[in-house]
Amino acid sequence: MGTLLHLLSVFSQLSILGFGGGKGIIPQMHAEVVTTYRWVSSEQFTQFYTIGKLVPGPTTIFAALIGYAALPQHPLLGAAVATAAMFVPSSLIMIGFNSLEARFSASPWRAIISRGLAPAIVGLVWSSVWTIGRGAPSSVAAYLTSAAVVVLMLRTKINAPLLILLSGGVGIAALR
Amino acid sequence: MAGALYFKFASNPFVYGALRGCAAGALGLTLGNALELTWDERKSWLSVALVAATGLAVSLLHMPLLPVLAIFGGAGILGEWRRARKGSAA
Repeated sequence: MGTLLHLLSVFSQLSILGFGGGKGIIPQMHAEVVTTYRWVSSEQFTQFYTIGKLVPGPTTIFAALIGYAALPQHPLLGAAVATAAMFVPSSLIMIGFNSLEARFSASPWRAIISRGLAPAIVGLVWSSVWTIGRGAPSSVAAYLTSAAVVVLMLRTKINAPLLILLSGGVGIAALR
Repeated sequence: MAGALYFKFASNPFVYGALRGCAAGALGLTLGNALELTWDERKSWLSVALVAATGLAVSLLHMPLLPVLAIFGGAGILGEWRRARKGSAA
């Protein structure tokens, strides 16, 4: 029961603070689930994040995998609670904002707040790079794979899941 | 389903290698995303400084999300408000 309540508390707080998409909450999520509660290792966290990028839907769906791992006696219950906590609060906030949006659509504050928050969100994305990097494999082959994906992502239109799958192929050949 | 498959097969050397490769790829994607977003912020020194300060505060000082958003998000909003005010006065 304690773990369920902790899952509920951790993921609902992250859900509320998830400005600018899921990447901004990755460092805080790592701090909670790896360092504080030790539900998963840093390597598992990165692998779950990777799986979250591969499956359809938002990346933060990997909260389900963390819930699954956190409650080994009832993994499906853990996954369901973590997923609901991750998405219900932010969905409710979105519904609230939608009704406010019509009222404040002409207000200059809308653009000021949105543009003003952007640099902090980008800084959080850099922190996500740092966090994910801590659990990613450290070898020349892995660094070259990451570098190649950066170049392909910025220079071509190959979609993200395909790039990850190609990296998986490299992993089978060189990172076992 | 992904969870069940992961815990059943993650220790298989081929699956483990594939997961490590995928993790390297996901890191590359996130890094590429960070570079793209930072490029969009390059026009203002305040924005670039806030990107760097937020990244360092969270990565190295492990600052929690709420104060990060309050301090660095708040500073960004203040900067944008001043810029908008200057723009409308000019």
